[in-house]
Amino acid sequence: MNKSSIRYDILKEVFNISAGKAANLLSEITGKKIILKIPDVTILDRTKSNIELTDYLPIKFSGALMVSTISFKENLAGKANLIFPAEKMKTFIQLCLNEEVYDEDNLSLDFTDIDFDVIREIGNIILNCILGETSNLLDIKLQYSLPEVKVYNQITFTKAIYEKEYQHILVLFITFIIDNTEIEGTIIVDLALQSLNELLRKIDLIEADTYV
Amino acid sequence: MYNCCCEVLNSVNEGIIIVKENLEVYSWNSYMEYITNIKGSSAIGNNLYTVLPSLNKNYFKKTVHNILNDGYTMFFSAAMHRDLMDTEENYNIKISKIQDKNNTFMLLEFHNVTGQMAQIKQLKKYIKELYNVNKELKKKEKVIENLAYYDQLTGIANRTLFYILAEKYLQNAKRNGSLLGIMFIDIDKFKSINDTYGHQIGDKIIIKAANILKEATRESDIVVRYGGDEFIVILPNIKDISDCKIVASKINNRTGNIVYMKDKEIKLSFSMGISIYPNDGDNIDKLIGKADKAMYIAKRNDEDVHYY
Amino acid sequence: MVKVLIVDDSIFSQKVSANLIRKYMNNVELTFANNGEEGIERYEEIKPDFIITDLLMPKLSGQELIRSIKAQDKSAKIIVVSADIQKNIREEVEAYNVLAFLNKPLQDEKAQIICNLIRENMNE
Repeated sequence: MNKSSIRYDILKEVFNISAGKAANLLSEITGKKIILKIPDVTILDRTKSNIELTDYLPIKFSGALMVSTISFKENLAGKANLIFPAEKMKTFIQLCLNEEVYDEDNLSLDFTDIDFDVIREIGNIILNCILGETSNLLDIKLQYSLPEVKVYNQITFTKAIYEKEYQHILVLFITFIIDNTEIEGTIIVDLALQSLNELLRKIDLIEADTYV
Repeated sequence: MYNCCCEVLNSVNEGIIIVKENLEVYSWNSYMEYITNIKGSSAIGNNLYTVLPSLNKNYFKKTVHNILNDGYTMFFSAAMHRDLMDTEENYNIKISKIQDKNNTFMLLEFHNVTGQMAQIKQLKKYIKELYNVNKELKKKEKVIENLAYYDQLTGIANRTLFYILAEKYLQNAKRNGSLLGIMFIDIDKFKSINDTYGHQIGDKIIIKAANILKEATRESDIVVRYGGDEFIVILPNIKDISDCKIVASKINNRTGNIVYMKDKEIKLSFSMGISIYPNDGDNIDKLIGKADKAMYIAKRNDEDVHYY
Repeated sequence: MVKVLIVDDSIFSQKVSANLIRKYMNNVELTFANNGEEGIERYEEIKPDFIITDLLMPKLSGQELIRSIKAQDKSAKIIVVSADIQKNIREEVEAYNVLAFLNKPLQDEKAQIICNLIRENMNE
């Protein structure tokens, strides 16, 4: 996607506004300072070339991934995946729960049921706010359910998020800072062609309205 | 059909509240009665926040607003929201919007996770205990290791460790074609000091001696308590005998070589014998033997240090 | 003629703000900066009467911009428009004595608030 285009600018701003809402809510819930930034957005077309999704995963990724997935069907069809490196999530969860972070607690990489519940909630808030606000700003009605949370490695992940029906991918890079701990993640939204076009159409409408 | 639905709601193992768009409680199932000790008859018709004041939090109200307006589904995990329910037990809360042609409702589901949370807490406790036990064990291992290789009185290497290290440095010297110095040292007149002043003073002197030797030697030199009042210094990386001589003069020419007692001062002096690889031998025993002999000569000649 | 400087790393956001302000106010001269650093440069160049700034920006954040401007002119009139208005950030920013702290997206109602604020504080 042309990074200097107006479309890119509008898309990024729309997502950042919605991320701001998520940060606000998370901050109230956890009582901590939260910053959510979306520094970059890109659109990939799987029909045009073979895309290595792992090129778009968080740069420091080297191990397991924690993925929250939401499917939506109304008005826009697709799947949104919020992806964070699993090892950093442990620290994150402890910060969100206001627990002291001890090294002893991170002895194993296994996540407990409570951890999954916490991720389910955080993932839900982030995805909800981003999808929700975006659909509001673009005037598109979206219907979706609670996210599923799973832990994957590189191989199982690529298999899991490959959707034959959704050939267009919207990739958002997201930086999540809680207190002073920073974690980089990715949101990968698989979209049906129609949905992508609908999204772009709405953006063009906004462009026409604003850039008279 | 309505009655059947109520029956279903009442046999489900979750707390279920249905509220109208204006947040007036519409339905309150049996499990909810059990969770809160509030009867359906008291709850129904009243405002949600009046019935459950613990829900009256800013972020909760904001979320409810979003759910009703935008159709989000919200999930509050028990772990992050202990403050939402005024109960001993812990509940995950799921909230969603239900809409039909004419009416909008909100569905609140309360799922009991107290058991899971207790289990996890217990598990974490065990892991922490195991971790601490492990830490203690490692500490003890270190102590045992120390006992085997280090002199308990002075803290420096003991005879056992000496042989290990000396062999290693000798091999290095052989490989590199460099020199290795062995200095055999004992404390002058130690036996008589010990007999005169007693073992406690004797020990103090040994400790002071070890410190003197440590300070006088270079970083790379190794000071060992060989036994009783005997010490050995291993000097790797020497260019020639003069390096050893320098160390020797440092040892005996220190003005601080005095042990103070209540009414007496004991001045410490050492006798030293030096041997060098390869000149004086090509194995440790030979080198020690030569250094020992040299020290004996030094004592006999009333010198500080002797070498071949 | 009121001089207003708009600082935001999104051109789209700049335009939205500009359009809305022009809708409710005449006689306003708008200048733009794309990040905090440029914001300081523009400020020193043109000495605007009002500054409208975002917070999350590359190179120099909104908070740092505000601090820098206030250091030069304690009475500088600054309005913050940000995607995120969480409590601790709001408190941090309001400690700098800004005129207002508004949540994006900017629409008619908020634009009117801004214009009223400008009119009220114009000739101080």
